[in-house]
Amino acid sequence: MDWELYEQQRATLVFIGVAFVCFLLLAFQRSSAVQHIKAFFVGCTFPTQRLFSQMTAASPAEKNVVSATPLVDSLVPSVGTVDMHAEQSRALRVLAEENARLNELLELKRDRWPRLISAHVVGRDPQKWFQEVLLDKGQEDGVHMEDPVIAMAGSREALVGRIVEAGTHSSRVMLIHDSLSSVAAVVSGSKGEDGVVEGSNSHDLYLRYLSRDSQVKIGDLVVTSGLGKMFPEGVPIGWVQEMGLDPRQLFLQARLRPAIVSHPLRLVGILVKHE
Amino acid sequence: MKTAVFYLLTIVLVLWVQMAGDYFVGASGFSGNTVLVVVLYFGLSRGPMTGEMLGLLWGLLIDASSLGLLGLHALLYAGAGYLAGMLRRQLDEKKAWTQAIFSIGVSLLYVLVYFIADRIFSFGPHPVSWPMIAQPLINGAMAPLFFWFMQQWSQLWDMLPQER
Repeated sequence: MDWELYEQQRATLVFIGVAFVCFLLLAFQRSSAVQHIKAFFVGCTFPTQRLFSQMTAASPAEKNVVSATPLVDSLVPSVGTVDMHAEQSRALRVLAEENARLNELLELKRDRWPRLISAHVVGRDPQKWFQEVLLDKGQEDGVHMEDPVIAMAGSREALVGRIVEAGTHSSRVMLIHDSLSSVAAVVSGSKGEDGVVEGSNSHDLYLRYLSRDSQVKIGDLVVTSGLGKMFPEGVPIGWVQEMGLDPRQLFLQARLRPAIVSHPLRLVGILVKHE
Repeated sequence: MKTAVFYLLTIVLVLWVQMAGDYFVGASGFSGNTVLVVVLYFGLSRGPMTGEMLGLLWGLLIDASSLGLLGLHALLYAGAGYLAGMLRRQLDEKKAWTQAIFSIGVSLLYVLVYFIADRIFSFGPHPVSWPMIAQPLINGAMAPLFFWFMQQWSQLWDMLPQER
């Protein structure tokens, strides 16, 4: 019984110490010391996250984003029910689709964004699903804070977000779905009306501050305007899905269908601003 | 040596299960908290010291992997391990109902403190992810299974807690 009491007292003292350390970590999140500690633990969990990312590289949800494996698909019926062959064909399909995605990004790099760096999404927090993702590229790869991030959506690119934290080998992206995100945008197809696309911490995006006599129509494409120099011009963000007045009845606002579906995000391109 | 290997493998295994759950079903928001349930198991079966130290370590790793605030999960898991350990003699952790109800209770507390702390220390507003409110029920439902599994796992290593 004495031992039990001693253990409880010792545990209480240790817990006070642990709580104190945790409060220090929380209070000094942005300090370099805490960033170093975080980088160490990110390094510990990184291989696992990368593994999950590769395992889901060819998840069914991505089929709408990637076409491109007719040869491998044609092999599938011939392998029948043999497990080993099925596994091999699955692995081949994963590789082929990964290759197709990388090729698309490579084309994009060649044609439009010479400074594009491809990166895998290796982590997402369920509690911040529409707000942040973790990438496997960091400062050592040339990634910096505020670099825009895009991904392929069908045949062309779409805006994903921007880098808000660049570690040595990993970086954190604030998605355009985050309620703190705002992107200067323009509606293509109408009279080039400017607005600001804001996130809502959900699947929806909102194009705000459109004048009340706006000519914007449902189905119009919204792209980045390049104002403010944060994002390059002409990157698709989404399509107008619904129009309405904002809560203060001063401006029109449009609910957008995002060009990039945030759920199956696996491979992205970082548009590096600085050499 | 065997003890160190046991704890190391347990840490890795549980972390994998948690991260896999977050990665594959996290989008729905309806994901369980494996680490929390296992921390409660260790707290209840081995006392507050083991519970809080494992909680601290798992918490730091989860914070790093989930892009969250470093220290938040660490504090919460360590607290949960400490609480479970302090109640070690008052609860019969071998009963499935006790496991489930205790897990639901601690999980409710966990979700509440998580959102309060997130608001205090986070930069900018982060609204409540409503499906997370279901997490205590999910944790309660899976608690008996994980308690049983951890018991079998401990038995496999001949590492069941010794009664003093």
